[in-house]
Amino acid sequence: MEHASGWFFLATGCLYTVAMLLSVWVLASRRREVVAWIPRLAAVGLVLHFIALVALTIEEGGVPNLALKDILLLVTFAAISVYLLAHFKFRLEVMGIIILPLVVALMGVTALIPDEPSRVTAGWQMSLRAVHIVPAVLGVGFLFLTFGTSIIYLIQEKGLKTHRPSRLFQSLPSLERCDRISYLSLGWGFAFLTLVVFTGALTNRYAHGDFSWIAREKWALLAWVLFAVVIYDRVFAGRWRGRLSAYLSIIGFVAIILRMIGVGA
Amino acid sequence: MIYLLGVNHRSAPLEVREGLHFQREELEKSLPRLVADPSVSEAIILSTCNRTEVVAAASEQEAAADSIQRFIAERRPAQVEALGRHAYRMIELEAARHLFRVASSLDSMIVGEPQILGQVKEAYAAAVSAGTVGPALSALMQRAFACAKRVRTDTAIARNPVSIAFAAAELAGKIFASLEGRTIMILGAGEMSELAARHLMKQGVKGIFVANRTYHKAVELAREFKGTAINFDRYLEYLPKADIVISSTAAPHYVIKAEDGPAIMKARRHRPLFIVDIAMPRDVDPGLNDFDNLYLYNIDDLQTVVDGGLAERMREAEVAERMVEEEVRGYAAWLRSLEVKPTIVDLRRKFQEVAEAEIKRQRARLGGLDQKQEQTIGEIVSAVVNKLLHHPTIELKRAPESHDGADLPRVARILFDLGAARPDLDGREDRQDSSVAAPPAPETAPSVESEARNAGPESPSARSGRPPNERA
Repeated sequence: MEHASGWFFLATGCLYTVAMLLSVWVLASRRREVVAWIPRLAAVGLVLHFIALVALTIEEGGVPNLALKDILLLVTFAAISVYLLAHFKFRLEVMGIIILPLVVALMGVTALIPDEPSRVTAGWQMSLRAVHIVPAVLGVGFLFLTFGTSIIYLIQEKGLKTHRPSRLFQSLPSLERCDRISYLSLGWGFAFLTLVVFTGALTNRYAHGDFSWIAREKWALLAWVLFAVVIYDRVFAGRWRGRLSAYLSIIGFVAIILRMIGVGA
Repeated sequence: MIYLLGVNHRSAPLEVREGLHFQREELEKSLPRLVADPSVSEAIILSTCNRTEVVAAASEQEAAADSIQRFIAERRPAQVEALGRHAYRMIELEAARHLFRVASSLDSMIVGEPQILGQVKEAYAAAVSAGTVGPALSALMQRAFACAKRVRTDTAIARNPVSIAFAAAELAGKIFASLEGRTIMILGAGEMSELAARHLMKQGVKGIFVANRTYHKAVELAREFKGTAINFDRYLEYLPKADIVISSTAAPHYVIKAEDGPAIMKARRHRPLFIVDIAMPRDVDPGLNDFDNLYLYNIDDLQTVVDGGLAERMREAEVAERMVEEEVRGYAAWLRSLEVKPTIVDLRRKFQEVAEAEIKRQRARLGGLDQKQEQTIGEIVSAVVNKLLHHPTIELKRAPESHDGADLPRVARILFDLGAARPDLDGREDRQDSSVAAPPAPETAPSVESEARNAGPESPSARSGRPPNERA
């Protein structure tokens, strides 16, 4: 860890971990005094995270090369932003318990990956990368929100359906609210994902000149199709509104995460 | 010291509680009578349908007990005898703990019910306007309010429904983001459905359809709620328009059948539908609950939710009890800190007195001294006293917060023969004592200034005469 960015990432990871442990503790102990500290810790972590990303860019002298590590660092940044948005804007406090562990796990994965020095520094390729990466990170950020609200929806739905409200019943938002936020964020996530698939296809077209990318991007394409189906149903029929949409959204999100950490690539 | 005498729903039957009840006007009139007794310096009476509690600040336990007994004998002669059997008596921290639990609704019949805090605040306000609250009770009550607020905000104790109508409204609130602008449908006009509808209307429900076998009853009810009466044989047409359906017809068979499900949900474009079936026998086919986005609750399901809510309250109450314990510890530390200052003052006075007496005794042996030498002797004595007491003073000041040193003021009093503790909060004792050294204070009416000064920062209300926490 000879670079400053490394230390910043480490501090960031520690803060997220403490925030996560705190949220687990609150859930287990039912003591809510420290609730307010969870987003605060995460927010400080986010600032450090940002500094680390800037430091990394300066150190490497260019836009990240879509190496796994860079993507994860960007995506976790987006995820925490989304969590804080959900917490402060939508008052979805429980989001922390869903997003924080995921972020900590992804940050943990980055720590295991060795640095790759290759960077794209100039030319049209760099612009294309930027056009690819920025919507990818934004899209995944929104999809984190979709994922979180879908999980909350399923917990709440199960409790209501079986007539045995869960222990969290009171602190979870209503089904309709989850559904609304989930659908809204999915719409944005889907739009960005479409852009990502498109620019990705273009890049590959120039780089390889064939359609082999379709096989390599099967996870991303699967997610894209699932999201398309959910949105189509909502607009035209509503048949799968609610539970099924939540399941499909979660599967799509998992596919995206798998694509990102390179499983089966 | 704090002295508490009370009866509650557990200790006394309804007749006794009724007999001991005080209305607010009566409280304001009779409270001054209670503090007219020299053994009681401050008093508050909390009287609700489930309890009557007399909280007093007093100099002596027995004297306080006697005067409260006399007070009740005077105002409620019929209940004096019952008091012996049904009243509980507590002092100091035990009394504080009880009061904290009462304010936090842990001692209520329905644990977590929200009214009690308001009632405690009202009792406090009554005592304040009767002029019977001084620094001791004011500090105690502020802490009780703070404790109650903490329990309310930091636990989910008050959040779970405890009645069927409330449970239904609560469930609706967990299905729909808001009830504003929703439409409800009442199938079968009855007392229960009317009650539930009223509950929902309060939360901003927009439209209401009423269908009933006898049409004029539907019209009546619809008029009351500014809704629409519909013919009973056409309810299925209107049903998809409703977000919440409350069914309580006297029909012997299902009114909404499972076969109706797909059509209803399709017409609703699968938006959520909440059906409450409170009819006996049931009106709605239980199979409907299997449809996505349709939530069906019958009377037993609602009861399960209510029971679950009560159980949840019990679990939350455990957390709350721990909070009360923490607050009591905080209060105890604060009480101990009150003893520190007078102890330090007494200790210094004692040392100074001993030193001066000794010099006076031996003065003759020193022979003639000039003014400078006299002054030097005085300075030496002061310096020795200061140096000797430097460390004890620091330790005493630290005592209330530390665990092993909590008793230091008391120990110091015993070791140096300083007499009984006189917390600087209790104006009455202070006055008696200070009458020796300082110009005598008037015997009647405790001076508000001196009490406010002694009370320290914890009792901002002593001067203003208004409960400071009332709007919290």
